[in-house]
Amino acid sequence: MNGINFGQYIPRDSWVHNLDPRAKLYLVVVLMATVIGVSGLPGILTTLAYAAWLMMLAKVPFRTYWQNTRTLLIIVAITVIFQILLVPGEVVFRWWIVSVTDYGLRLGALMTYRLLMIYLLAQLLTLTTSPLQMTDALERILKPFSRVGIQAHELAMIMTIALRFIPVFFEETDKIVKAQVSRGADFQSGWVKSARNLVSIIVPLFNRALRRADELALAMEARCYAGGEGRTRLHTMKMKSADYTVIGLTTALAVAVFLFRL
Amino acid sequence: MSITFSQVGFQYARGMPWARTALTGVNLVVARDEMLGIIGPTGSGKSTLLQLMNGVLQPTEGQVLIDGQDPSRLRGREITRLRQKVGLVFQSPEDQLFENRVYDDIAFGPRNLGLGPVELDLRVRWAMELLELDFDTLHHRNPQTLSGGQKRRVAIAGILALQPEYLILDEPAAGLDPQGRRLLLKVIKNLHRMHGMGVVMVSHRLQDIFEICHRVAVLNDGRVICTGTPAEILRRAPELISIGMQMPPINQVLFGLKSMLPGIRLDLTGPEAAAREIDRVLKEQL
Repeated sequence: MNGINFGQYIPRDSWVHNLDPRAKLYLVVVLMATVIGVSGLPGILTTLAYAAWLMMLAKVPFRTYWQNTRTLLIIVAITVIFQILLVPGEVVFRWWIVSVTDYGLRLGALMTYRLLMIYLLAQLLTLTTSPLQMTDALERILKPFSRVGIQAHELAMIMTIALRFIPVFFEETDKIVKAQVSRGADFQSGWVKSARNLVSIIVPLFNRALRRADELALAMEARCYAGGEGRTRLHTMKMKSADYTVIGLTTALAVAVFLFRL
Repeated sequence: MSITFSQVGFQYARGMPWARTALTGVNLVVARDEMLGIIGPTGSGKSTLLQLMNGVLQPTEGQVLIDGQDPSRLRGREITRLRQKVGLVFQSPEDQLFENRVYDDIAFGPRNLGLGPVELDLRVRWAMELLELDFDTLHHRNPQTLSGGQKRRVAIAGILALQPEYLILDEPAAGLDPQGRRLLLKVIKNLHRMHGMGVVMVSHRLQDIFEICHRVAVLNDGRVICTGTPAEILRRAPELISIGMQMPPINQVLFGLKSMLPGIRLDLTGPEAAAREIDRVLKEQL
């Protein structure tokens, strides 16, 4: 059950790590949108260079990105094959009933670039930003919307708690599976049997989760937690010149791509 | 007939950067007719050792043989049959109850074995009787409405209904009130005595282990550091205390009396034996 570690935060002291999480969030979201808007080689090259520069500054070994991306390559390959085979256009290559068009090739290449870039950017964010920083940033970004009824602090708290308990749930599931397997539950042979036996895991898991939630709520109240109203922070987020640089560069790149159709 | 560990090692998350070694070089034989207690400080590998005994975990080094069979070589129905033979009761087993009726929860295991309704009914009644759960008043109740001690016994009954030859229990009495604890220990003792089950039990409370087990294995840091009868283990008390174990209160009393009564024996289990010994030594002194 330890196999899930996509984009797990890797603490480092790097320029990217030290960026304000709000700036990073802006960077990644805007750059992802730009990547989708890119339509030509100049756009591809500039965005690639920009992303590569940031990844270099992040001091996370490229091997980590590669390890996380490997599994995605299957999806990319399938998408690309469909693009190449099914898109009409001028035929450049034909064999039996398979015909490859120039437009298909172009779309396939573009799709590969988009999928990989979006995936890498998402990793850049999660590898260099701790979940706590991320929820903090979200809370700050959502704060202006509290007037229209969005409770930023509560949402951020829910996210933090959810993230915190994911490993706990894995551990618990593991334990319950072992316990039911010890009682002869069979999860290997046939999905009808497995589906029926799944109840024996889901019910105890929910049972524990609900009890845990109840206990957590009580424990928080016992320590005088009363929501975000009037709460101050130990570490306040402050934008520095590096953050403005990143925001400026990203915005400029996005504007250029959309304006000049790069 | 035995569960045999030879040079067994176990590592969690093997090959990952966060791999953790839980057991190293464990050699241990659990005979079919014995009651073995396993003690050791927190994190010494006790629970891992138990999970290796019915094949829910496979050793990363060495071999575990259950009545001569290697669980890692078994498939499908054979592995189910093996798990039926070695009943494993996890820590706080009441967490795995999931059916709406006590009856169905206890019947879950036997149903997985494919038993018919008549045999099933017999098994459930038998298991409930062994654990002193009244069939007529309890079988249709929702397990979640029972007391903590009752839930625990329903969960153990669910394992017993498999009619295992070995019963493996991880902290069976932890968190129960004194009556619940006493009742459960009595039941476990009976299972061994009257029904000939091999019993392996892990507990933090040494008095529980010393009271009912014939042989004790001490685990520290993933290794078995010694095995012996409770009396033999008690003679090595200083060593156990140094690895952070707490002796039963009555033995602490005996250690305290040693300076005043040099002739006193220290390797006694249970308050009655200790009281007789103190009585004897005092009479000798007078």
